[in-house]
Amino acid sequence: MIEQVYLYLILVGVTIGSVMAALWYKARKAGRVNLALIRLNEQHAFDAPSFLGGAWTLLAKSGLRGLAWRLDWFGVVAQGHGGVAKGRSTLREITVGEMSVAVTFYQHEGRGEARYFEETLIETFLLLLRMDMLIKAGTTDAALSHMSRLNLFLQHDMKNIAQFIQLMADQLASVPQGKEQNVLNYLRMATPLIRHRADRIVRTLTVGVAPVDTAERVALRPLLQQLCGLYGLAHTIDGDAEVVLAGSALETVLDNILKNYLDLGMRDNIAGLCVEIAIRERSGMTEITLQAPAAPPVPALERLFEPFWSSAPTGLGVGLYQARHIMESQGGELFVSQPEGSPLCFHVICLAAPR
Amino acid sequence: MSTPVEILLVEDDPALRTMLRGLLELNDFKVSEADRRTTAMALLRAHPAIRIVILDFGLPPASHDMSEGIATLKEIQAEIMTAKVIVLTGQDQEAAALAAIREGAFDFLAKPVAYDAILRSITRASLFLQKEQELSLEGITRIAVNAQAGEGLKGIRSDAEERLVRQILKETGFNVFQAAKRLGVKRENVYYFMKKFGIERDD
Repeated sequence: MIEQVYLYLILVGVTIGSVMAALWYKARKAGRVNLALIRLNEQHAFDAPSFLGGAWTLLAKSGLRGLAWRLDWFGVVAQGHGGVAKGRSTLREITVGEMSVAVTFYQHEGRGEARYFEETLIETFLLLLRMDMLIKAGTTDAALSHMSRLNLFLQHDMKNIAQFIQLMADQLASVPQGKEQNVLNYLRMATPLIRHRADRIVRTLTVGVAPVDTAERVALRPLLQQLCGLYGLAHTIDGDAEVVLAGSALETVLDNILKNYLDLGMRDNIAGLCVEIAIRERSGMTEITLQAPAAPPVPALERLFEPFWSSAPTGLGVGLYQARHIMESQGGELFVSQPEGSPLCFHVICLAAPR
Repeated sequence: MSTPVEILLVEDDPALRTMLRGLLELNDFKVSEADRRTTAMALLRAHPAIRIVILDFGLPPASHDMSEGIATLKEIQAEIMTAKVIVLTGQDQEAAALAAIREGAFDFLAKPVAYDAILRSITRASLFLQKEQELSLEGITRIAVNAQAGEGLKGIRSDAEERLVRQILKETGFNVFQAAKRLGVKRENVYYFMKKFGIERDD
């Protein structure tokens, strides 16, 4: 009697084991296809149209009978298909901004685990497509926003330069008798200022490009005094030194930092904003620290060097990012510190000039 | 020799400001400079003799949009200053011109503009001011109000009343007796208007 039960139990056990093994095999296969789809999307650099075009080979392995898609990509329509258009069809649509895709999946009529695995794969595929479209929308929006800001910046500055040239031409065309010296004096005063403005535009347009000037000795105190004077910034300078680096590099970096203080003072209407500058030499390097005690602490310190991030609504957000890269390209450093309750402090480290 | 016309130059670009100042001074204008709204308003309050303001709309802290320039223009109009404002700006021409006219600018010039055009605008503004003063001596006061058609006349009447009372009080140095005489009303009425519109002596 008991022998008969054993046989029955063994039979049940073998059946369950076989079913489990089959399910495990199918789940593993589906998992591999899911993973392969993710890898394929990465290979196509998260580009939805090319991912869509290359996905059928993998989807076919999952047992899907066919696939047809219609893509509307910023007004241009493209279509494609794979396999056969037979069996149970399911239409799914995704729309993100000016992109939309309609995909029809053709599945076998079967039920149970085969359908479950197919649907899991379809959802993964659609999720990847949606993610690609969202990435594209995000990068497009960000690029347009940066372009718009840059356009605004250039429009303002280029028109000022054009106006300056126009006025200079008008002035030179009709110098009143006996006032030639006055004209010369105004030009002497105004042309370095416009050169500085033009330099700023060039620097903005060449963001990410390291200066190609050869290294030279730069005296820090006169440079700092000149830049602070240009912006009318109240300042104190403690110490002095000479450093060695490309001519315009340090000027660009310090100009960016000081312009930030100037903008901050104007935006927050800070009375008595004074930039305290200290110059110290240690172990062959020179450290310049810049700090304004009246400035409020910076809330998002970690974002300070993030490209295209700006605390000012009209800021381009490239200045400090560019400044840090320039310092690194010159063998120096630019970093910030902000101890609890203290204002932000910029640290510029450069190679000290040999004595 | 006639007194030189006093001009306030409100421009955030130091190079352009210096160049324009040079040109104006060479043409015998007396020039003051400001690089932002607060400085400009302080100068205008301290020097009532400033007849003309050349105003750039792109002022810090918002150098790349018009908000600060428009705020400056609004503040000048709100304080009923006699100075004529010539907007000289590189901002979006259509939008800037519309804003300038709406907020009561005398003229609008889009950068880049030739110095002759600036000079012509200054000459027109000076002439306009001179004629306004002559009219004022005849008892005529020009007021400007923005009226939204279709919203009834009560609001416009009230705005015009307020503007006129403020202007007359300012012109008479807050002399209620003279203001009442110029307005052709009793002194009590002037006090009533001052209370109604919240006009204070230091306005």
